[in-house]
Amino acid sequence: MKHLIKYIAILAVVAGFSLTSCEKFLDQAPAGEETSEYIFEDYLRSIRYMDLLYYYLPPLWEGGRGFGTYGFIETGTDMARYNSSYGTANQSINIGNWRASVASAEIERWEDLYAQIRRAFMFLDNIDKFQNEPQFEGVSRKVSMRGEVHFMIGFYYFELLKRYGGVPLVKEVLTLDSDFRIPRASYEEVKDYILENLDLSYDLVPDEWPRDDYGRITKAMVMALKSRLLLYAASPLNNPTNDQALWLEAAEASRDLIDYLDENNMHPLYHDYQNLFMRGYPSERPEIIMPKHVGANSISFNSHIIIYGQGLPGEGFQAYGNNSPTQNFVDRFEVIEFDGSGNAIASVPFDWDNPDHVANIYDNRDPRFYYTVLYNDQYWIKRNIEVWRDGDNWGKDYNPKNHFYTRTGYYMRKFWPRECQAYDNPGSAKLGSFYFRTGEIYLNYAEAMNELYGPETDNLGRASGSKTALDIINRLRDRLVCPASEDISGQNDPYYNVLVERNWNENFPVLPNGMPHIPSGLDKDEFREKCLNERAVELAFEQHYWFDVLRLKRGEAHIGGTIFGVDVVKDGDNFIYTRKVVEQRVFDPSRMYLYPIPQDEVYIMGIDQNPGW
Amino acid sequence: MNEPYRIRVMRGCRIFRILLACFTALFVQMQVLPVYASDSPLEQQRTIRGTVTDETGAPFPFVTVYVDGNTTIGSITDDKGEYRLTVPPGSTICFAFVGYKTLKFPLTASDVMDVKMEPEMKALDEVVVVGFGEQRRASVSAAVTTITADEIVQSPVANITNALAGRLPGLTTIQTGGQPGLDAAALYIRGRGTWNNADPLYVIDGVERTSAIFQTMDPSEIESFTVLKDAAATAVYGTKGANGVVLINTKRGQEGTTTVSINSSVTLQQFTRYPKFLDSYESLKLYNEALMNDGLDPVYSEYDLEMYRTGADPYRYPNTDWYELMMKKVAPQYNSSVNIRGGSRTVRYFVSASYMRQEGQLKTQPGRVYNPRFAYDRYRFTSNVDAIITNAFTLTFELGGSLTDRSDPWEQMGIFHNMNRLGPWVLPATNPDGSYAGNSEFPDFNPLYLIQTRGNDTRLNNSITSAIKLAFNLDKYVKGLSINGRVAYDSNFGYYKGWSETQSTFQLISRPGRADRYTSFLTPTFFSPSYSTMTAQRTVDALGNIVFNRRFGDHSVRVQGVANISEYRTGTSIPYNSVSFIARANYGYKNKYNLEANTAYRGSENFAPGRRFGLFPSVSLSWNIQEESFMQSLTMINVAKLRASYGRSGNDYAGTRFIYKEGKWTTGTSARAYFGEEMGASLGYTNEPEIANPLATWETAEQINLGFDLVVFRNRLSMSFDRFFERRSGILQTPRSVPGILGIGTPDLNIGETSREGWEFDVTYRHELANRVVLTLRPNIAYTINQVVFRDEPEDADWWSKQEGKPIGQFMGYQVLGYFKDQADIDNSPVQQVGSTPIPGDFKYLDYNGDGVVNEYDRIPIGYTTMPRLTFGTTFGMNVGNVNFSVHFQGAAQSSIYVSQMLMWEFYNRSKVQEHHLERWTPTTHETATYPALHVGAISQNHVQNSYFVRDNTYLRLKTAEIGYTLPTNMIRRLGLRGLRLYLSGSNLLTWDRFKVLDPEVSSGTTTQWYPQSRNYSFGFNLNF
Repeated sequence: MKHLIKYIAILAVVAGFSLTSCEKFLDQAPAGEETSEYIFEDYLRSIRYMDLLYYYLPPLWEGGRGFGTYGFIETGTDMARYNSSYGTANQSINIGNWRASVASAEIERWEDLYAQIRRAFMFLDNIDKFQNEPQFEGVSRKVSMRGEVHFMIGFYYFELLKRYGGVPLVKEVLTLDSDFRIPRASYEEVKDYILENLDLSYDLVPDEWPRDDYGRITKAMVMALKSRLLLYAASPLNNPTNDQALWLEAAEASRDLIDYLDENNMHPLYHDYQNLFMRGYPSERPEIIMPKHVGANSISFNSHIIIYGQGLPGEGFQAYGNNSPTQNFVDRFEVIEFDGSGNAIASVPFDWDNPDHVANIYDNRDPRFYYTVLYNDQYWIKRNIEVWRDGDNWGKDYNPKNHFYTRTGYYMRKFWPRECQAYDNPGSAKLGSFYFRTGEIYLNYAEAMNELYGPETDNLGRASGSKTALDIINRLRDRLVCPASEDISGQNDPYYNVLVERNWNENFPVLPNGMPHIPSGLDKDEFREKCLNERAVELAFEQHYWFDVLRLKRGEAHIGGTIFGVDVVKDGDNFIYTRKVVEQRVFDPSRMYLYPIPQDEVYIMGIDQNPGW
Repeated sequence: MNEPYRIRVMRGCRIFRILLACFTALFVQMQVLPVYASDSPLEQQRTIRGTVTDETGAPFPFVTVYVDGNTTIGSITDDKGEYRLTVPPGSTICFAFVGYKTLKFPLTASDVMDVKMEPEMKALDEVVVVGFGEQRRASVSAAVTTITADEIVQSPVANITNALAGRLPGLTTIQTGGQPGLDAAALYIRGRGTWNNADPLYVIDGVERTSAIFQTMDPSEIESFTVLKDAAATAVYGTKGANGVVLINTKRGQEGTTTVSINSSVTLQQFTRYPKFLDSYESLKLYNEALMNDGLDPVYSEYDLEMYRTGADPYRYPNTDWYELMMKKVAPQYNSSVNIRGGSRTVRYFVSASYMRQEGQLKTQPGRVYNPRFAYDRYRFTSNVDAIITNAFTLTFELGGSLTDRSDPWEQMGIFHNMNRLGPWVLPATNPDGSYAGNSEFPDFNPLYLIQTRGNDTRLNNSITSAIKLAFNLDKYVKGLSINGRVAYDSNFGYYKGWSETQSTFQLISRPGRADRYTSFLTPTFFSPSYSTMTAQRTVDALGNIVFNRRFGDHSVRVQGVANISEYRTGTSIPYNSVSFIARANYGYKNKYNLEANTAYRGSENFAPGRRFGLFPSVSLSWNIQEESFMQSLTMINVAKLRASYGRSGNDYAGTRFIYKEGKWTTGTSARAYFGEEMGASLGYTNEPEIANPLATWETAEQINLGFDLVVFRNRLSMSFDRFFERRSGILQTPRSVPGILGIGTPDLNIGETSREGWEFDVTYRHELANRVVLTLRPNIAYTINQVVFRDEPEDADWWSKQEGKPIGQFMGYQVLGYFKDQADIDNSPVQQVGSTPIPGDFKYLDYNGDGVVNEYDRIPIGYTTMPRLTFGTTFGMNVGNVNFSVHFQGAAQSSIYVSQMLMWEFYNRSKVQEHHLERWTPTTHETATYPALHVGAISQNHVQNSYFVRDNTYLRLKTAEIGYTLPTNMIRRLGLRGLRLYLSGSNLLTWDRFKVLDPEVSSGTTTQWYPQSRNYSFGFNLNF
């Protein structure tokens, strides 16, 4: 018995010991020092947090986000067709299968955009915590950082506004304890809130940044966003009564920027339209107001886009040629008419009923055509494009039995960097895309001015003089200079690339004075069509056209409707071109002008879904 | 099963009814069978008679009476216990009955021979394995089911999990694939009670071990396999017990002469089922039709089709049946094991070694550097040694280990994906010059190319399990007291070696008037061998146990206390630690009433202090009615026992580690956003982590179990019925009532609730007839249904979008009303906003909410879930002398399967068509069509989750069938052996199901990366000496 007591005593001690030590045994979680305190006590760690606001700005192509993995957003419209059957979302939109339920919210951006709004406010809440920031222009870097963040709040809310209309305005960092029954603000309230942030930002950001900070927010960027925002706000979708005051705001905002750029000689129109999209750093293409913040040599990123998004299938290239421009789009490029001595005198719309036009289908078109679209028999990377058929045979770039080949008869050339123009190993590119460029601002201005005063009147009364809608749009066309070959001096000539192009392509027009002007004497409606056509052609594939169609309420014509392509029959050495129907698309005007809000958000917040969803 | 039954299955008759019909038929047959004539006219013979009584003196019918060594002379006792038998002089008469000692008496002078049978051992004295110990079956009051080794060993399967299908009521097995080395079935106990991890806990020889260790075990080393189902049985496992517990005990040494047992078998494997695709000609005719349905022009001309049909130019117009081309007729599998069992009074041992090799079903050629085959080798050994050091002290040493070697082609399931996807018309396998074919759309899709040239990877895995156990009997100090303890150490180490390369594929380009040439695709890359250690796992687990077990007159008392601590490390991660204390008390009165109460106090490192430890109590009660005096007259009832239990157990699955701590803000220098004139400057990034949930803890299951056990007819028929109810709460889930505008990941909260209920019924019938004919029948059936009670869903949500009130994983979809007859039908029906604009022949869906539009708001629950509600199995065995025969059926009902995309839909992502697409709707076949109009587009009215594609997945399988022959004893003795048995067996032999396209156990979804399950034919022997 004595032994037993001893055993029990030992057991009790062991048990007691293990009970107290087992809590410790279970304390395995690492002691975390990377808390928010740790981040925001240091300038560098804090700016790293802020800089992701740049990183998450929506890209030009909605890669993986609903317009096909490598599809441009324009594939939702009559500008292009997405070829691959893999990314099906744009096809989904094309056939009217665009749904509100979370499972099929095709172009869902809601949460990603609000995540960045959270980031902006989280940063502003903590900006006072770090003290080791450098000086910029003689004041604390915090000043300009605040400016950058306010711009971003504006930018991200504009991304929401243009998709969903008025959205819940979150102006703080939400927590799990927050009241989530936040109503939707009206379109005007969101617009005003964005303007408020842009005004704050404008006062805090500089006109220019030093070399290494190129790309950060400048006053011009703030004004550019304001120009776009107010144009959208004045457009038929958001201005059903055609309130002229809204057009005035839009025109004023664009004019402010145009005057600012003119006075300071900043961001001039780039003379070389092709290379605005094909080569060099954004800083070498000064027309770019706000670049996309991708690295100069992000090999995997850019070459990927080229291979899958633009490249040609076949020939060891293994591209998908995903974004095929349509005949609808190609027909938008005007045909230039020449007088007997070879001077360009006018430009007229392409006309399928005009046998001259059809017989010389790709001759003397707006030069932007040659830089935007690849078409049959065009010279491209050491050979001519072959999208013809001939009995049971097809050209190298066309095969109706293979899904990757174009259905429209065209491939996309814009945004195909010169460095990647190879078949086998496209390699890396220095292409950086962008969010704002001067050309857009001109078109914003021209559109708003026309709605206000017509094409040839400027009643804004600016000290900088008269700038009518027509003046500005022709300024844009003047830039499209294509000198005669003998006038191009050599490799250093700014128009040398025109010479190269003309050596490849004898259809290429000679335009020593740029595109013929849009004539005067048009009325407001005629000019509006000219202006919108110019916009589609000039800003093709720059993520404008889809939203332009929506804001102008032209979805039935340009998101729905018939998609045409070209049928090219090879006949000996000649080609016969006919227009063919590629597909019929569906657009439901009762709902598709605004995106559906994710259905769960509607349930949770008790807000109204957009109509029709 | 014969043809009429099959037809009834197809017509939707519930399978279990058929099973019952089968059982009844067999039962009737058995009653008819035992008719033996014993009137021999030979003059020397004597006729003896007598009465056989049982231990209580009551007459004992159905006792087999036979002459020793002569199986042709025998009889059975009638209902008065009387028998008559004519026997040769000098015979020895044997009296036998299952569960009773076989008695032998030489003939005496008297012709009357009355015999009193003695029970061999009462069924209730059997020992049952329970958590942290063993109990007499009589005192078990929880829901526990056991099968023994004999039943498992029947079928030589590569993975032991597949031997369990349909053997235990309440254990659901789902084998979703057959890849060598990866063909384990998932086990679920009583279905699914949570949408989080629902895997049971595995306890091997008393130590919590991974399912991977269990899956490498050889069936021949297993003594018993026990499933703990209710909370009364699993509460002792605390935070790990809620999904049920599987206890596996290996064999141990026995005192006596050493026996050596050798098992060896050769198995031929075949795919049970793989999709049957149409040939090029048939496919492309349908393709043209589908294009026209989509308003497009056909792309294959009459000439093209004719070329495909005739096969005149197989390189330009191929017709490649990838399965036919790549599949072996049969693939072998070898199993062999040696078990040595023996011991003296002081040392007992069991040693086992086994080897298994399973080869893949696809043809491969060894390459220069690698062999791209599918194959799996497993070496395994076990050694259990018990040393009785003194009367009061036993030392046990257990060591187990396995070495596995799995080889796969580099592309693994990508090969099957492309075999299932790539149309027969797309590519020949090889070109005229022998190179692998590709084209620009499908440069690296050729399955033959993929398996043969892309490389290989091998995974070597070493696993050791070990334990040292000490047991002290302290009777010397306190009668009935014992303590024991153990330390277990398990280690697992995996090693990976891979080879990969890329070779080019080539396309033959032949144009009229030009010489043939080849275009190449893919840039060749050289071998890139890669090596890595895959996994390194280590578990240390220590346990101390004190037991007081004593009987005081009519009262028996058992008290137990356990302390258990374990640490599990994997890779470089922070250890997973757990501490638990268990207390258990049993009280029994006169074998009649048993009361057990137990509780675990267990903690996990994954939760915050204060949320870490939980108390998991349970209480259970049983009443052995047959011990009551009023039952004594009912001698036909051997056991009648009522059981009831209530308990609580937990599931500590947490998804995220240390969910309670504020996450780490990640900050890094790698570039995200770029700045600078050359876009080369980037400062790095900092990201906010998900919000933490400091209150996170385990989910809790509360269970009630009511059970009834009945053993009647002298232990011949036993039955067990259980009814259970469960409520789970605190299931971790992301709250759905937090909107996306929060802008950051929301942590999982303990908010989900489910309920579950069901029943299980298990019958064992064993009948020993004269002349050594033994029949056994063991059917079982179980039913489980679950329901989501709460899942934090937005209040305003429509009912269709909520999971509340529906089973976990309920399929949702559109209800198909039929096919659109014509355009007028479409125009007059609710607007279908489902996919593309419908055409005649597409599905017409129900406008459930009646708003005139069919859209996502009209999706309703359709079918069941993938987890069958009803599972059943039955074994029927018959021994006739030296021949034994057994069949085992297994099946499931009230479950659904949804296979979509490439294996179900036509031309999805350029994939193929199958036989079921031939029955499509066309204007001429609209009356008989069983499939809607065909489309080529990825989006169509038809290609959505709907009541057509969510299929009833009821199936019944002849899981195993075996015929064996045991060589007669005298022949064996001459060979110096103790026993030799030869057998032929097969598994997955026949399947009756309603899905028919693929194996019914294939997982739901977009399955194409799927290695089909195997049907096996085996020949083997067991040798003992």
